[in-house]
Amino acid sequence: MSDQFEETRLPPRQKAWVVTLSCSILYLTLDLVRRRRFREDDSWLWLLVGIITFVLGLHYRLLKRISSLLGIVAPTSTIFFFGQLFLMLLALQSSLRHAALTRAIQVLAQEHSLHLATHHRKQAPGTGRNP
Amino acid sequence: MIPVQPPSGFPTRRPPPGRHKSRPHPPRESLERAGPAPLRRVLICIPAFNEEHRLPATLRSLADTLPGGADVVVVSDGSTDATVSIAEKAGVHCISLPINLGYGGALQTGFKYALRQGYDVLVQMDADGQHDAGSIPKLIAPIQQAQADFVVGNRFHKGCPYDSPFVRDVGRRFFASICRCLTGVPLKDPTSGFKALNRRVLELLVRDGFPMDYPDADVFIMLHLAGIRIREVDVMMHRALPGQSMHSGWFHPVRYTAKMLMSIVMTLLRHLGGHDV
Repeated sequence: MSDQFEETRLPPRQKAWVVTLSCSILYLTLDLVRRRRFREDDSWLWLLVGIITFVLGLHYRLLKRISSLLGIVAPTSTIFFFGQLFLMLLALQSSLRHAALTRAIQVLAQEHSLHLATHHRKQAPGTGRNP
Repeated sequence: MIPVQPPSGFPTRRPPPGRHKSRPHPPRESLERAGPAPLRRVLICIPAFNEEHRLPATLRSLADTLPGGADVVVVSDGSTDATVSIAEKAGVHCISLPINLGYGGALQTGFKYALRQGYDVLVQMDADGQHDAGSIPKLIAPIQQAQADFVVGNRFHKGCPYDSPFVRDVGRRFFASICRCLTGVPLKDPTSGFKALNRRVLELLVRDGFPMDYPDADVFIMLHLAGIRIREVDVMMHRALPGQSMHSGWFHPVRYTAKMLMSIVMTLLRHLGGHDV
């Protein structure tokens, strides 16, 4: 069963695809950050994915070694495993960002309304008593 | 029952009386029927979301019951109807939130307002006419007599005709027993929205940890762990005037229970980690 995984190098065509893909991810991420469409804080996960894909594409033996360390038979399954891990981390990062933004919006809305109310109160000091 | 340890930096002593002199508005007497103790500035905070039909009656009942008494602020929680204009026409203060933050978010806005305007006591009551304005003096009396920092209005007693639906009553009993076990305070109605609180509590509740949706049993436990003195007094409550309730729908009880249990567990975990509020 393990014969099919005894290759020590990726076929050149696959290697070309992997290198192209990883370079594209890295370029796209850096370009988006450069154009301020993507925040530096959010870019590290994508940069990490690009670098890991690039390294594993060039060093198939490393991928096999990681696979055997994790107890995974097929190196491709390791790729899928890391892909899933990446998606989970991405979802977690998005949730954290969402919670922080929600809180910020809540505070902004409260502060805005309180400033308006205080302003109105100064303009009409007699109001607000029990009707 | 969990032992209470006031966290470091928590104000355990009341500020000196002279501090009140620097506030933007001078203290004046309000709620004259509340009791023999020196009366403090009281703000009645009414969070409201699309309450154009029920708010006028609530404001009228306040006017009839407490003539010339406390200040009133209506916090419109992103209402899309005439709630704001009704409150303004009635001559009460109005805070209009640009978006819907939820019941807790609107309440916290009222808390911030009370703190910044120098009020000593805040009474929170619903806009749907459920809470009887005549019970406000009874609600704030323990605070005025310095017997409590946080007072909850209990609607489940012999003299009150209020009757809640079965499912809600089961939930109320369940969370009341959790509160009693964890705090030792004999609470019967932790889900009541009719409460009074002093500045000490306000200072805690304007922090980030205040729940934006349903601040109920979890807030009691949080306040108890922070060393706040909690009291429950019997008050009158009526059936809400006809209209949409934030507790309506079949999914709400499930969501409420899950969220509240999670929030209570997190409050306890924070306490174990040394962060009470």
